[in-house]
Amino acid sequence: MSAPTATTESLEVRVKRLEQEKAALEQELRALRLEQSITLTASAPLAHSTNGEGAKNDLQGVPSSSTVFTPFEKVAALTNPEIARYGRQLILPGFGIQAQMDLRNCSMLVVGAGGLGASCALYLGAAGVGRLGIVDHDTVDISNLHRQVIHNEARQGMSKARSAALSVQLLNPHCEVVVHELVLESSNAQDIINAYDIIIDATDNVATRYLLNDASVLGQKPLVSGSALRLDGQLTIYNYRGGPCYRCLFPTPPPSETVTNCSDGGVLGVVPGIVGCLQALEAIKVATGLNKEDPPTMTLFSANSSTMFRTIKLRKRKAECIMCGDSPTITKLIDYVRFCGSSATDKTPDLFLIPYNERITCQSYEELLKCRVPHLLLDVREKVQFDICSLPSSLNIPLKALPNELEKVKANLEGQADRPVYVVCRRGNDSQPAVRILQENGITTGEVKDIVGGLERWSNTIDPDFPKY
Amino acid sequence: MTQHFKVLYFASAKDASKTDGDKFEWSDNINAEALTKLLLARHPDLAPILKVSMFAVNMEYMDQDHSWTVQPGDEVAIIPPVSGG
Repeated sequence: MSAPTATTESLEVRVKRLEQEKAALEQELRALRLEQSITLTASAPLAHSTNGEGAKNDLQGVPSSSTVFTPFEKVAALTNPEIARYGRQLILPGFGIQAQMDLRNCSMLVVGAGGLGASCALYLGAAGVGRLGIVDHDTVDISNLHRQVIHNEARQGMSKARSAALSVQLLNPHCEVVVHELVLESSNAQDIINAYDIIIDATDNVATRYLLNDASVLGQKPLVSGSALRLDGQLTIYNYRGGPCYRCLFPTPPPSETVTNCSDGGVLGVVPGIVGCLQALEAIKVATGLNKEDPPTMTLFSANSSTMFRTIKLRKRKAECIMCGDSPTITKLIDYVRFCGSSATDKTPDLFLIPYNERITCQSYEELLKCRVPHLLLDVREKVQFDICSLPSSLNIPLKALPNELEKVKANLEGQADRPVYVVCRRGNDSQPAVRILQENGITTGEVKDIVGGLERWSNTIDPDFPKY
Repeated sequence: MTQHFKVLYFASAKDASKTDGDKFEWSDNINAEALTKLLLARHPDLAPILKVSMFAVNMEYMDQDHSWTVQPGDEVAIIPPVSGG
């Protein structure tokens, strides 16, 4: 007697279905455990430590940089959970299963988990990129969160690379995320870049931009480059289909004094978010060949202009380019910090322009205030910063305007030719050239000194109620 | 009749010139070098920025050589690199 067809057929089908359900449940369980571990770590005091060690050690499930050198396994078909997840892309005319498979079988490296990397990594992970590497050496700070929306309040002090990886993993467990907690430099960049198909430049400094360009040219990888500051952004795919590399367009690095970082120049949070989204889009187009007919372009984003987007047509790579030209003179990675004259981070380094004996500490200045010593306190920050907070009875003349406003300084000495002048700024950098300007112009016969560490140190050591920004 | 051309400033070029664009009187033979001189005469603060900027004319990249001159009605864009992120 043969069993009813329904049973014989369904046995095999049921096994398959249950296996699939089991796999889906396991995935959900992993995601929940991940979320749980984050909640647990966030409530532990170590999670707030500045080096992020506590947070790092307690979290399971996100592979670290060593994994990248294990071969990336391509697949021949999507699983049912993947089909369910990517359904809206799969039914998209001109995208469909082929493009989704291309994404699944593609590995991408996002360098920088800051303002650009935040939106870029989230969308790439969500879209179904097979392997996503995230590079960052920094830790999450409260002042990042207005734009770096991939991190959150509870992750202060945690490694940005790890925090970003967790967010992507929570959003899409199908995406294999690899964490690279390091400063990308000449000694390690090439091996990492060679391990990926598409490189995304979401960095915040000039030196790393040249490093990434050169390593991408040497490794023959397309480089999806984005940048943003204040209200402006730029987007270009370099080293792609015969188009130019970064050096073709910008052969000379800008002098470091003309480069502004987000910390000093300010940035509207959504601006890097937009550019990061555009980078994700371009990377998806490269991976799927959607843009294979397009000529090279640079997109300029100006948030506050009536024409928010402009597209500049670029030319082919330059035959005489020292990196990607016909006879390149750069054939291996160089010292980019030296080449650019600026560091490979966006942190503002401390300036040591004037000797220590021509400066005063916050403590000494506080003493002087208590003793009511007559003096002039000159604040050389930009007005927009002065408007946030300032010390009582300080006179605001921004450093840039100072050479033309010396009369105003004199007028504020109230007729006392030897009245001392103290100069303050945000961190004790701009105050130093200001002291030099005042001394060279003999503004007073009294002492001219600046306050070491500026208002930031004033807040840290003297008055915790004084705001920091 | 005097003819003009337009200049657009982006990112740090906008900060240095304190405007996002202005008009210049057109004349013959304004190549990249002559253009740089014209720009510096009006906005001296552009000096360090022009050294590292890219030029585009009517939304098309231009090499900084003698192969082209500005035409009446052209829109020249000064595009310095932005490095923040």
